[in-house]
Amino acid sequence: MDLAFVLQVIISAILMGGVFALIAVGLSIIWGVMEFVNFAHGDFMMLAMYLTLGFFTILGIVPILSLPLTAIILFFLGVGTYQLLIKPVLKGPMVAQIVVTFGLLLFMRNMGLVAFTANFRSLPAEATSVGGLFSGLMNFHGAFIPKTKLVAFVLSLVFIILIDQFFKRTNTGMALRATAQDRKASELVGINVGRMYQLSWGLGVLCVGVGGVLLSTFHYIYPEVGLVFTLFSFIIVTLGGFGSIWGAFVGGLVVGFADVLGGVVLAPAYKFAVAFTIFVLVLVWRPQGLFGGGQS
Amino acid sequence: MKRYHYVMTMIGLFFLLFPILFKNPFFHHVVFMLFLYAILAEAWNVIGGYAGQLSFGHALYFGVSAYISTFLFVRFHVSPWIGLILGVLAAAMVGFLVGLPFFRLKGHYFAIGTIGVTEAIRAIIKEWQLIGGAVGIYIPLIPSSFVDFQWSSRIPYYYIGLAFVVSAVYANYKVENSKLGYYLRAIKMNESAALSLGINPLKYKEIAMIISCGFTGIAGVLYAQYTLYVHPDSVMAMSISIDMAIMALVGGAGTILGPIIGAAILIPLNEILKVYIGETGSLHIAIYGVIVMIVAIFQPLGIIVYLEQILRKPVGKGLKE
Amino acid sequence: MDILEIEGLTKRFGGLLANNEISFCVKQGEMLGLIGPNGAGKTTLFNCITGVYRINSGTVRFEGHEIHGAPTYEICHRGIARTFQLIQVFADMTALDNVAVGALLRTNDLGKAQRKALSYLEQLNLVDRQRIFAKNLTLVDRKKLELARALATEPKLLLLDEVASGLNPSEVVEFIRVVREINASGITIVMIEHVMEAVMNIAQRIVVLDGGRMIGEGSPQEIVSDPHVIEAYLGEGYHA
Repeated sequence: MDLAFVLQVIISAILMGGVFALIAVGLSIIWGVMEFVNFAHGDFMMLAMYLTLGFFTILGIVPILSLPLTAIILFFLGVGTYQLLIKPVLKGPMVAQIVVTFGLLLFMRNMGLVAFTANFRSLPAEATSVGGLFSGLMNFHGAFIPKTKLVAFVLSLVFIILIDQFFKRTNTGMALRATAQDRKASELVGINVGRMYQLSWGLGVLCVGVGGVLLSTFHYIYPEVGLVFTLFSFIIVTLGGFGSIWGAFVGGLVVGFADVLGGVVLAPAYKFAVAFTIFVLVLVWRPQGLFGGGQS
Repeated sequence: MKRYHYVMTMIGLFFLLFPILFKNPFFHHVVFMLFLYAILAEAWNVIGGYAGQLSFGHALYFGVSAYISTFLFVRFHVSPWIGLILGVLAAAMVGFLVGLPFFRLKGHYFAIGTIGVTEAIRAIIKEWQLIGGAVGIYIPLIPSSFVDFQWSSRIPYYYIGLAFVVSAVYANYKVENSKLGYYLRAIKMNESAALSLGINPLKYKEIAMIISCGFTGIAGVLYAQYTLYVHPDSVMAMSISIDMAIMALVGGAGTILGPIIGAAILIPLNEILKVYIGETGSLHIAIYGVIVMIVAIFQPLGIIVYLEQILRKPVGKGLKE
Repeated sequence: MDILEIEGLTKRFGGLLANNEISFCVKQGEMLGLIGPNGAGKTTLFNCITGVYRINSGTVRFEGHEIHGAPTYEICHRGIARTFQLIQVFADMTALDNVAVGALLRTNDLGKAQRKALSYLEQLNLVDRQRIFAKNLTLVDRKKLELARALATEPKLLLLDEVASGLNPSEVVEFIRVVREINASGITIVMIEHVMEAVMNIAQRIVVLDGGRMIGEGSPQEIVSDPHVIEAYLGEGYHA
């Protein structure tokens, strides 16, 4: 085992982890503000991936340019989903609240199968290379890093920082954090909690959408890709704490490592079991995650 | 009162005579699957409906039981009836163990936890060559035998299934009208008040879990003996866990007959969708998803609420959340 | 005989000392009043006794046995029942079922529990409302219901948390009568109260808390003229 190999593994894990983290942050936002878990989370990501593919193959727009478009579409999709599906079900029993997103999962995933078939697709190289700028591999002390992955990671990181700053520095961000901490108190100081819920869905789905766009530059695109990433997101958010953005980042790195190392060290199927076992242990031992806090 | 009993009796007679009235084996198959899911939905209802612990990993107990009876039969030629008892015991025990750390979690947390446990164990079973790994175990086709729980005709399976459905419904009836049922409702409504009245939440949730997982285990063995093939993606699939909960919800979670009504609506509906829309492209599942969303939003208390109005008889105490 | 002995009970929440070295005893069969300004730590004390909170130090003995550290449901088994400041009836259950849940502590037979529940409802004048869902009852009836439910557990010690709050004077009078009856039947009662007529009239002894500390203990007459108590309630500058 030489340095280059180890370096390759580590860098690969970090790059993957960053993108995983962004995907998970979306789940974390909705969970943090509303204490609601969207089981169709990954299916929005799947949608973003197909949108990216469509923008390129049909309209010729490269992902780096179609990203803002996809982001906006997904933001409104998130808001729309909240208004249409989530808001009415909040007054009902918990079982309905959970089942409604399962229904959404079934709908989105299978409509995906109907519309796109189960074939695995990928973005052609021209889409991601941006005129040769990002094509090929970068050599870092013997470790070979695909430039597209590097770009995806950097953009993920930028986005996470933006989201984090939004929450910390803007009034709306503060209002969201207040709602996450204590719903009743927020209402009492005049925060429109319904609006906050709407916004959290918009932002959450936007994040998972952007994550999906970035993921599509180096990952296969197929209708069932959503579920795996939903489960991954659960693990990441549980590790990092429901509602904590940097916690999700750390969680993403951990899962990124587990994914890459798992493929290297253990049989691929076991890594799933290991990841879930860790997840279950953390959930039981510290339900608020390693960093997160819940409703007071 | 009288109208309700009349309807129940007619329905009972209908299912009792169904195989005689309708000779089409496809119909027998559909109704058998209905029975299977009715047992599952009723089983889920005990822990998800009455106790309010929303498990989305119940396929685990289905699979554990199916694997145990199948393994014992294929390897050691143990009668699947004994396998049934052992499978049920194993399923109940696994459920008990899962409950110990997880019952302190509520709502979404508990749901995610149960999904995680089942997915983890399913991933492990896929690697476990002793019980067939990802390929699973085939039960050899043998001449019809009661002891070996196998028949060439569907009819014995039908009646055995019907018998277990009745017992599952009866179990729900007993749970609802017992100390356990009252305590579970109390815990669900206000756990701190329940504590102050001497109720130990973990104890009663575990009792409910054992009953729930036990019946899930019964369905597991039934399924194994009917399809003669168990593998991780058939007996531990997430879709089984989700469907159990969906059917209980659609029919009416927390009521005696709600789950069975949910199964009675969704299983035939699914078959009809398959016929009219075709199985290509999974459009029928997408539509199923839409129906689920609609019911969850517009009548989360379940279809049973409408039936209640028609029959003008309250069908259980757990209707209000 | 002292049915309840509290010694040096201390409960801290981070930096806040909610209960500070509380020590007193409750004699079997007596009616003890627990008073003090808001935030004095009275309900916290109840929560400590019933095991809802884990105490930081001190002991709680019930009928001679240490109960601090025991889970709440076990403490109820041993014979301590309570009502809550914010009523905690089971909103979506009928009045009868509410009390039946209480009665099920001492019997496994649902029918028997329901019959016993009926008798408690009778005792509290709620029989004609037995089939009404608890959430549809008036405030007074809900308070009575919570009381009936607690009684159904056949407690030896009953902790009442502000039973009289929110009631008009005639309702207070009725509650005083009911509480007296319960006490007369042999059940020891400790009641947190703000409504002075209620507690001064029926309590035989009073314990006063302020800022987490015990600042007075004695008969109602003694307490009323205790300068510390007066200061706590009304501030400096007042005297008996």
